[in-house]
Amino acid sequence: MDLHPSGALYWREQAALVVGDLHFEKASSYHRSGQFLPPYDTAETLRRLAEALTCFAPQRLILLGDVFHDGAAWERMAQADRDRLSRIVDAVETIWVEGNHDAHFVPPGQTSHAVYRLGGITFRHIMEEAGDVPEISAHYHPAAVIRHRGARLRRACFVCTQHRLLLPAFGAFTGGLDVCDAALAAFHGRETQLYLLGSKAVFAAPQGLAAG
Amino acid sequence: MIVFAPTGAGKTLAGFLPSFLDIADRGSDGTLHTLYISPLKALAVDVHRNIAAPIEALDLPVTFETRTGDTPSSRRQRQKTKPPDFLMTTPESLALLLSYEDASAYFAGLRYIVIDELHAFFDNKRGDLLALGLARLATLAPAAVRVGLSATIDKLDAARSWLCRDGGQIVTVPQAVPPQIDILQTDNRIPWSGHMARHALPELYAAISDARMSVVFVNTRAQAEFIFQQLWQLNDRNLRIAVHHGSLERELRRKVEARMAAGGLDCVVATSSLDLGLDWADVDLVIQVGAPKGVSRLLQRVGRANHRLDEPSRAILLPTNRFEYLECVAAQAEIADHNLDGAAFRQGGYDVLAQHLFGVACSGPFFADALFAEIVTAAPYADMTRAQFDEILAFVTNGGYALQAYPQYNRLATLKDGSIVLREARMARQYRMNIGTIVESPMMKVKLRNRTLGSIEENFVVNLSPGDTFLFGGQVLTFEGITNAAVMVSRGKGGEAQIPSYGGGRLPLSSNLSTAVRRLIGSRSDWQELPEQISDWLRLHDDRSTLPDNTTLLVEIFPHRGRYHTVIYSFAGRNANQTLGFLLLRRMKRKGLRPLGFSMTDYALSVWSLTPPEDVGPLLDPDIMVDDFEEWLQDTPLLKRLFRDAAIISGLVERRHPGQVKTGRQILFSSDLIYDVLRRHEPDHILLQAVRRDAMQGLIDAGRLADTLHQLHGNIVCRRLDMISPMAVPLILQITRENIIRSDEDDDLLHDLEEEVIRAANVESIH
Repeated sequence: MDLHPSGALYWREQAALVVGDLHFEKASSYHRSGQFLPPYDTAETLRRLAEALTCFAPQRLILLGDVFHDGAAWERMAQADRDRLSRIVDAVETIWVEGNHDAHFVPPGQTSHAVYRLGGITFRHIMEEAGDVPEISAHYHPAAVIRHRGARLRRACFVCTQHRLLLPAFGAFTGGLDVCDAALAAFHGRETQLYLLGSKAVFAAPQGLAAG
Repeated sequence: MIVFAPTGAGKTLAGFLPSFLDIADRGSDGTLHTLYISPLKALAVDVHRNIAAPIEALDLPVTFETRTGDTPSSRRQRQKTKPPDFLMTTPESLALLLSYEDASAYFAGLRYIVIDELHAFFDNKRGDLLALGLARLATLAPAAVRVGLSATIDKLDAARSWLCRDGGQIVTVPQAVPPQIDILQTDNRIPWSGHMARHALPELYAAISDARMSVVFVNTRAQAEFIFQQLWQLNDRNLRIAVHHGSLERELRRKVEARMAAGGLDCVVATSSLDLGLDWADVDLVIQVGAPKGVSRLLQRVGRANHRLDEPSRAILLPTNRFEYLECVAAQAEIADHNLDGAAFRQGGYDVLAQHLFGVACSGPFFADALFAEIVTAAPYADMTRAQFDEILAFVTNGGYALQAYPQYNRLATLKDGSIVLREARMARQYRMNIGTIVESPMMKVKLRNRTLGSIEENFVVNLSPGDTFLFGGQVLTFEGITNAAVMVSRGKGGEAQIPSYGGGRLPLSSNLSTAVRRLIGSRSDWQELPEQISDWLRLHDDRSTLPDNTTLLVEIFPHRGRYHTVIYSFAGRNANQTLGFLLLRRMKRKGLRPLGFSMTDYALSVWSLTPPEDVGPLLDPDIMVDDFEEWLQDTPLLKRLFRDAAIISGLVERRHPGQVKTGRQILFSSDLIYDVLRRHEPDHILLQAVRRDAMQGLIDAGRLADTLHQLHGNIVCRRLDMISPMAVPLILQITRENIIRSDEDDDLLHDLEEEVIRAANVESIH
């Protein structure tokens, strides 16, 4: 499998590109409360998605939940962004997996899955902690901190164990949850491998970073 | 009116005299009569204490109270409904009072506005906020008279037009006795570089032992911590020595202030937290450790000693390295000649105006035309165009983006009569939580078991690992970990501590003092006042290279450890030198010289490269401020850093308050992400313009750099040397300690880290 610095995962055998937590229209969801964040996160996330699609030219696109920041996000999207998204999902076979932010919501004409299985792997938004069926999920927006020569760097990351793979959030304005957080206790072990998103490449982190 | 008088002349009292007379005449009418505004909370408290005596002696029927961020909320509530006659406050608290719906009634009876330490407001965003507040007050209380007080203003006319609406008087009280300023003498070697004064600590201790009560002023908190600790190690006479700086717990600071006032201390080591006009009881000696950086600033500090007009203030300067020694001698001469620094007046920040406009909306409906007319009466905004104003108003209304869809969520709404109102009252609460222009790195409480010792920058803490030791509040502490958003520490077991390196707060050398330093270097007859080791150092430099002076720009090129150093003696101050360093990196890279990095001081800049430049003329052509500058500005992380502040001041993102715990899922937005996205999708957005403007005036210091390059371009003296020159030594020594590339170029650091990660994990990058 290929890990892309945008946070996308490409599964070569199945020609499938997987992205999670796009959180379209996150900025505009704050406008209601009077916090006018720049409403360009959707356009930016779409731009990155188009880049990743150009890079791998997949046949399938698996959207791993929380594509929309909330149920009304589709309505708020600028027409141009809606059109761009429609063109993308029409061009490849697109699988919509439900998230917790956008549960049951997909754009008109699309259908969603709570869980999706492909080639022996289970795709769902929030991981199932037990079981040894290989599973790829999103939801936690994992990020890790590295200290280096007195400086500190925080980066979104892929989190990987024998049977589980967590994707970083793909959306432009999505924050991160530290891999050391108790919510990710299932990953606190020496065998966990982190892959940090650099600006142009993905880097394997030294082991032992994901500790409780 | 401006009262310009030396420290100790009683100008604070003079500032209140018109108020005393007026209220004695007319009596109190139960509304606010006089507003006293100072840049420091502590000063407001101090003045409150000091006017009590005359008020009691004159038996004036007045009530007087302070109001700052520290005032208990019960008293603040009461002050809202039942104001005192005299209120002592800060620009932030004034902004808060102005944002209440009853502001116009509250201030309607105001007669006098006394602004202390007026000079402290000319060159920063707090001054912008105050100027806007004064413009507002002029509308609410047109009869109120403004009185500005200062001991250190150079351009009195410019200061007058900043403060006064029409004309205005200047009352000048001449200095009766000039201050007596000496430089601390030591037989030890004066270091080439460094700032910790290790070479003269016993002499420093002797000086404070001889004084009745002394204040040792330092430039950074790290210096304060270090010197305080070292003095205690030398303290065999059991002097009562305390430390005072901004990150100590408020209670601890108040305790130190109270003990000083009561004569219960022999010496206080302090940063600028004690800079401004506090009338400390009986200080008879001020010691300045490190470079004064500016004549006015030094004079201000020296004025802390001896408040009697007929006796000189006594001060001792302790330069911590050789360039600082020159700076101290130059400053002595400038003070003797009454040659003060020109105050730098600034163009008002757009982010501050955005904050102010929202505050006005919180206080009630307004008309855009009238508000614009009011804003341009504030000196920092005098040049503002209506188009700029409208853009900022649009930003306050709905973010002011080119892409805009939901007018129903606008923060402001325009009514039929054209007046503009706040759409929802609850937004006023949000505004009031965010007032102010000072954005510090988020602070974390430092706790020793259950006791809070103070707060420390989060940026410092994130670099600590459990077991690391650092100096704080004069003691060595061991970092244990972070619990409930507090830094847990235990007492360290002696030994060397890793000293906190607090960022920021480093002032660049003033142009005035910079000229004086170069004059001193160029004038051999004045060298006799220098200790032998310093004049020998200059002579040696003259033998090996050339002395820099006021009319030429000295550039040296020499090999050192496999690299070529190009050293430029610009004397333009650290900010301008830093900008020039970044620009030269670009230009040299393009010319194939393979530059690797640079280091700078206030005086000079060294860029090192694998190939030496052939001809430095084209390299330093002033056109570097056009093409290379524009390119560099596009992606400098310096702007990203300024954007963090502007995003908070303008109200785009909410301020984080001390003790506020982040929830597991980050609710707070990273302003860095916002900056990147905004820059790509709307590069001309008003907030990006705001950041550019700020950068040009401060951090980047573009004006000063351009001036320097233009003045000296035809007069470059380039010396090619076989080895490092005596004056370049401090720069080269600095490289090992403080690599500017690493601390300022996030991208380079990232790259370095990524490589390290690859090496550590022994894997290739994966695509």
